[in-house]
Amino acid sequence: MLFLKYRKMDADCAFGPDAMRRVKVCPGCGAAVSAGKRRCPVCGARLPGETVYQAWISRQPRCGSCCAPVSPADHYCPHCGARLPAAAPGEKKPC
Amino acid sequence: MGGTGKETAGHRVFPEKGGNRYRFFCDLSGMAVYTTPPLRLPDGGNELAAAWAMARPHFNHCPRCGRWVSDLLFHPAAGACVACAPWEDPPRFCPRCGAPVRENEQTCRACGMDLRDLGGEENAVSEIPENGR
Repeated sequence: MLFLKYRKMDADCAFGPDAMRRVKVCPGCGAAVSAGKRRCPVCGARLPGETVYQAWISRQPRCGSCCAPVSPADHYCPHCGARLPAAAPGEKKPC
Repeated sequence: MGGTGKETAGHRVFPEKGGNRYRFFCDLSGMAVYTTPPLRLPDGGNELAAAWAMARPHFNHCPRCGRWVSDLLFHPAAGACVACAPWEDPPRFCPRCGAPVRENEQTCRACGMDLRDLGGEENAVSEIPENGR
């Protein structure tokens, strides 16, 4: 039954920032859970406060000028045109 | 399997009476994407390869970083994961040379970079293309 739940959730998956804001991932079992839930309906674990979008944006390199998420391969911010510094290991993100 | 990066997504094995279940996870979000039925191959066959053959259609491979990601973290217009092709507005400046980009321009006039795969929600398609898997 537990595995059937996984299959159902997989079928419901979408993509894009709005879809990422609607979903959390259970740290216990990896289930995709609605952002409004506090406990995982599959394993009962307490869910984190952050959605998939928030978890992704917190790890993504950001432009130091406008804070837009950028690709690690970008030399200039595609949103404001600011020159992006070369990534330094352990560097604190400005945003 | 994919030519760049790992050969399979991250996984865990759950032994059961009828065999081993394999659960595969999105490399970016840690989300459980696919769980196999119990597998028990005769003559010690490659169980992981058999499990991955079942799970593979549920994953997208990022050709830039080699990650295997769920639909949720894959940018179908860019053909890459959202870490390599971040979702946000369409580009106003070329990320390679910094030249201003006009609306709906597909290549940078200054350096020739292909701007079609930079993302932006407007560029996203409404369905995952078959070859995006």
